[in-house]
Amino acid sequence: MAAETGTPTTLTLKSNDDELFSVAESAAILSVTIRNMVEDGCAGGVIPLDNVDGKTLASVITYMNGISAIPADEEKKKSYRDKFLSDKDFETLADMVLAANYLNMSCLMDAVSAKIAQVMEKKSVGWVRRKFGIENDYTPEEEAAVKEEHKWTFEGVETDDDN
Amino acid sequence: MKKHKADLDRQQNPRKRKEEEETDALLTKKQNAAATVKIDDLPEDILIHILSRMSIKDAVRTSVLSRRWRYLWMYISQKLEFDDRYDRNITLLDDADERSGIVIKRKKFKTWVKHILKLHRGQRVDSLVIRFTNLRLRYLSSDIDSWIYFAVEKEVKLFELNLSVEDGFHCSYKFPNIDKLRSREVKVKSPVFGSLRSLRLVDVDIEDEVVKYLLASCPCVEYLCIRASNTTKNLEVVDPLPNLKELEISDCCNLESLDISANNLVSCTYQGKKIRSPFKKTPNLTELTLGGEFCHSFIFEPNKHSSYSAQLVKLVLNLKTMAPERTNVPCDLPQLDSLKRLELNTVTKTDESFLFFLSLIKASPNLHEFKIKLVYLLLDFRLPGSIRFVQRTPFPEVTPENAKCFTHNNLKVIELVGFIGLATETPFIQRLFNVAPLVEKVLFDTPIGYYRFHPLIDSVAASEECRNVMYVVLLMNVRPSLPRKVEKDTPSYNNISSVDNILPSETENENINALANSGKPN
Repeated sequence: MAAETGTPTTLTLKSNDDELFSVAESAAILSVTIRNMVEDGCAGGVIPLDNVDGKTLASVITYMNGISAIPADEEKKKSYRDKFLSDKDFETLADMVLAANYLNMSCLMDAVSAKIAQVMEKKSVGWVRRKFGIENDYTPEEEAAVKEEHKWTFEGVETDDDN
Repeated sequence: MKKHKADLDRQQNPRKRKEEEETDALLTKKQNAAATVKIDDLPEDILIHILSRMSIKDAVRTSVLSRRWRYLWMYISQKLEFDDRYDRNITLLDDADERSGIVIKRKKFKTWVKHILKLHRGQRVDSLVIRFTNLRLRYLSSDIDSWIYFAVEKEVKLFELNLSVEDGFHCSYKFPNIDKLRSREVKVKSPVFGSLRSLRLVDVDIEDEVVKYLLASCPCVEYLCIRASNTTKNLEVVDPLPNLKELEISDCCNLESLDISANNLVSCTYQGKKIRSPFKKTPNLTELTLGGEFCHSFIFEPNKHSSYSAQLVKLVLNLKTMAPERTNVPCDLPQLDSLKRLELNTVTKTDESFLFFLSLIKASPNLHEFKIKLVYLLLDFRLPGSIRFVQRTPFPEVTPENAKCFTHNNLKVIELVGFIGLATETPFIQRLFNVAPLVEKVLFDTPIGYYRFHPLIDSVAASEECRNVMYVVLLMNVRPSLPRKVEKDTPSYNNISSVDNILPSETENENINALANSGKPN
């Protein structure tokens, strides 16, 4: 391991569209999935990551390098995460949350989930449906019944013009 | 009409506008490109994860989105947080008068909690937080019991139940007894609260034997806080508690004894009655916060606390109530050989010196950081008809002539909070800087709101800015060699001025420098 040899160990990761990435082991083991492979000694050659495409993996590696360069300071890490996610569109965020889930990276998973949650918060139902492409398959009666059951959750939320 | 209002709103609120633009940028890109990824492409466990990051209200509202979303929120496993204060601003809009509003609110809150807890389907919940600050006497014990049983059934790791009322009203709700808790064991098939890591109870009366039972059945507990429990009398927090790092026992007015014997305990808060030293075996205790009569005893009867005082690295002393009689200067001082940071929070009168606190610095040879926060008691000002206040400050008065003379070379950081420019402050500040010649950083936080309408204060210092300049001038006089920098608009404080070892560069400091120079004695 890196600490024993004195030189940083580099791992090679392969995305599902066959792109290869080099990343320092110390950064890559933020992913519990990769860490387990390293600990089991299966990280010698190329590590195939079948559920992550190259574009997303590049982004995740940027994050791994960025966050592992920050020493144990939760506030700085948080502001790095906020900045890292600030310019990502929903498609990228969706890919990243799937990748974070697959790679078992709880800090990225939490940050991306929080970011998506933040967009949905305090918004009207119609707005969320439109923005996230959710198809309303309730009958009007059913929808009214669900709304009535959770009536209190609509207090203080913008109402839809079309409802 | 509505749209117009929203536009206006956006114009007037640039932050909101920016947020919306960001959100739009986040989403429209994909919309235009015929959205290849929809949120419904994500698997349910990830959607539940996303819902877990919202407030309960927002999460529950998503049930109206579509059939798939209807039951998703019921599987939230991370955190359920109910806070009646949080909602106070949003709801109540339609309640005509405030009094009936609060009553309805109380009912509504209880109905809300009950509704959500009943519908929750997930097997586990990591943390359950319920803050119900408007309880008074209008509750059924069985309602609150059921919240606790929910926490038991969902095997929570973090549980907080806070029933405190701002004006100090104690609702006397009793935590379920051992028999009631045991009856739940059958249902969860494991010790009650066996997964608990953090437990915080505020204004909840819990029997000593229940605490004992819980500590025995929660081997993982890392944090325990019992505040304002009237049934707590003889409390034991004793090993084996291999994970207990932080403990707070505060404001338990009937407490007679407290025994703490926890090998791995690092941080402890005890505020309340004077009891014999609770620290039986706490070799790793380095951070201590004390308040109430016990804190008084720590300062003025040091021999009763010598078994543990020398191991403390961080110490916070809260002297928040006035004393009935004048306090005498003690012969001895606490042994604080390892102390690196000392924080004092004290009430004081506008005309009394607090030079006494220098002796605590003397008692801490390795002190690196010193913070003192003053709250002036304003009841004794000389207005016709005001009550004459006979109570004394909780520390002895020491005149400048009698103040201890010594030099402290380890003290590097000084924070002065609540200084408002009274004459009694100057000797303290001067002496403090004489004592600590190697100080590197000084922080001032001068409050304004609390004293705003006080005639005495108004006459002393005209404006916040004036006062800041005044302190800088004062510091320049005490220590002309200190390079200076004035920080403004630090968001977390009202008003901070800091003088530290950063070379002066900003032109805005010129006036202050000029002032400082003109104030210097030749």
